[in-house]
Amino acid sequence: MISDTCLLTENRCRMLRHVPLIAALGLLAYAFRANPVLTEIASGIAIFLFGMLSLEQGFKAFTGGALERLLRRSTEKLWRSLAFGAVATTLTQSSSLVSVITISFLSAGLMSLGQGIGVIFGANLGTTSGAWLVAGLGLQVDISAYAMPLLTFGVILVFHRSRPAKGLGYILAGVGFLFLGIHFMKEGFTHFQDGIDLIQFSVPGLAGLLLYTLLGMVATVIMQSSHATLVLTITALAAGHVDYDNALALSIGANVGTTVTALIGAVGANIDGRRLAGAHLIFNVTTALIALVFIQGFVLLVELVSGWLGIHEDNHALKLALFHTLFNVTGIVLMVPLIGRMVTLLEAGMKPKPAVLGKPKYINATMLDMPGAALEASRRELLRLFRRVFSLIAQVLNYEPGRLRRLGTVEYLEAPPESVRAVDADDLYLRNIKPLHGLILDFLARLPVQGKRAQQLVMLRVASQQLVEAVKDAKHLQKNLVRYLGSGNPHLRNEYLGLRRNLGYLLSRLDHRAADPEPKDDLELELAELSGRIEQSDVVANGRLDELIRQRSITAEQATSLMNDSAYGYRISKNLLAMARACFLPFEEVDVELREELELDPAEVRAAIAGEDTAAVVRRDEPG
Amino acid sequence: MRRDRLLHGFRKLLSSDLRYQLEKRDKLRRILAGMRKKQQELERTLAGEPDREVRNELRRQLRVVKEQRRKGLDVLNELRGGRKE
Repeated sequence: MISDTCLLTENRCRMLRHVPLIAALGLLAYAFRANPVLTEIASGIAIFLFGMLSLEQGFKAFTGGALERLLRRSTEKLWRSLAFGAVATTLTQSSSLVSVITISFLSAGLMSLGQGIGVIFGANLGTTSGAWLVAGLGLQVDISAYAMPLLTFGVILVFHRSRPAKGLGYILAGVGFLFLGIHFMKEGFTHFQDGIDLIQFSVPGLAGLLLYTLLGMVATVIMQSSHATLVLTITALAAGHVDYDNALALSIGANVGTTVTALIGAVGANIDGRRLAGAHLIFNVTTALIALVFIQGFVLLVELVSGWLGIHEDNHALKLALFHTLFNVTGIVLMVPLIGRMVTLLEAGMKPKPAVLGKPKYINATMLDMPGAALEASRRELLRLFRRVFSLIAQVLNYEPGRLRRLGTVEYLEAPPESVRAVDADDLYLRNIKPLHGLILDFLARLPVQGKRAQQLVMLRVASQQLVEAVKDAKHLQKNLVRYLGSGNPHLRNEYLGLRRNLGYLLSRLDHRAADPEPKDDLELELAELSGRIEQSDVVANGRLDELIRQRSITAEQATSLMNDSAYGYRISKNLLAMARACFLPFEEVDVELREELELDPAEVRAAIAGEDTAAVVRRDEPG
Repeated sequence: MRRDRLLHGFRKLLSSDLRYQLEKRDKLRRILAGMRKKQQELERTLAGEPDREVRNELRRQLRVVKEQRRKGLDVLNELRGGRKE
């Protein structure tokens, strides 16, 4: 009975949620019926927005390569971040796409918050290019003539199999739709002149300024695009339906309204996304306040610059584009010196939630469209998984993870544990490792990658599995390790202490290497050195086991255990080394190929240690 | 000479494979230089080390570094050979 009531309430809630949408659609349908000109304007807006979506979709096809490479190179210096934001937004006509890429890079740790803010500031400047395009080109030329061929070429390419061709198709179709949308809006407003005179609704003075700023905000929130609001304002202004002063206020409102869209998007994002949205909000609100307070000054400045640029006195559409650019540039000039403080403020005010064991820190669903950043984030997540595996194996070996992490001294590594204890490796695995391992695998499986990136993805997937294999071997090793570390037989105890010391040393070196931003030696050299140590300490390969059996220092049963446990230790070491090779350095195809060629196989390492000719050892290892 | 250099530059510009091979060779050279430095460092330490056990450990490390360098030099020679073909 209770559950039926709950279900009914839930269904009602779900229906109520759709009421505003249904009401809005109904209202629009009525308005279209009452005034066909309104249909023309509304369809213009719809086509324009669809064009923006198509353009965004097209550029996403290139986000796996060119855009990401460009962003990686462009964010070393602040001015480069600003330039990237401005140029990328001008080309893509989508500040939201640039924001999404920036958030992905921030989350993957590929750029700092300061650099990200630089890109967002630049993107704000880039959005002003849309106004120039419409005011300068869209209203002067019959752009619908270009729209049709663009749409035709675009749609043909969209059906192409190749990803870049498809992307180009979406871009062409997107530009075509943008042009067509502008054309419909322009036509709609021209026809509107025969009907109602909207100019009668213009409000002068401060009240008008505030009212139209609010209107601009609302329009941007509804259309989810400041660009669309600006285009609508410019076309209405050009047709004489909006007063110039009110149009200025609408453009200010559009700038504030766009942050609402960003804030809504940031609700589901991680801490980096929220901080970036915070920076966006601070920038746009401050800029809007400056524009509102000094509106008269800006108007005078627009008149002055218009004179220099040769903009005709009556060309209010271009003047509006100039005003939009000027107040955004002013915002950038004033806010750039404050980026450092803004970063401090945002980092202090928006703290990340304490890390939840099972939750990932670097990877999230928003990155799925950015394979480069997503793979780098996965690599970092794997390093996080490695630290957990480190902690688990250290505990299995009866070391204190914290002390081992600080590159445990030889004395600490060699000293027998004060009291030998067994940890619940299964429980630790289930709580700390398995959930994160699963999430990484799930994330990697959903990444749409091809070619070289697919090779990296496989490497990361294998590395994740190697970490889990190392944990499972450590669990098996623990059984006898706990038993024989306290053994009365000094020979056997020493062998297990040696096994423990070697693994502890390896863990400590790898952990140190993973955390070292500027390592002294090349990774391959360090791994080869560690590999040499592993080969030398293998009791089966170095003949130590035979010696112990011959001298009857251990029983046959103990020899079997030692042999098995030595194999577990060997496998743990090899898996950890292989994981380090795949994850310790950011992916570079050249590096991967070189490392594969430089890697010494066990036979080569053994031969080198023994001072023999490698070929002779390989021959000896061959069957028959 | 100047013409050769120009031709080489032009080929480099056109061939992504050649560009890739050159990048790989430069990286390998840097890695090998690091290895040589490490080898010299180990040899210096070994010369001044009186403890037998530590000397043995250093010798082992030295052998691995030498083997790693040898392999690296082989790859470098292969790359050079590949370019001449």
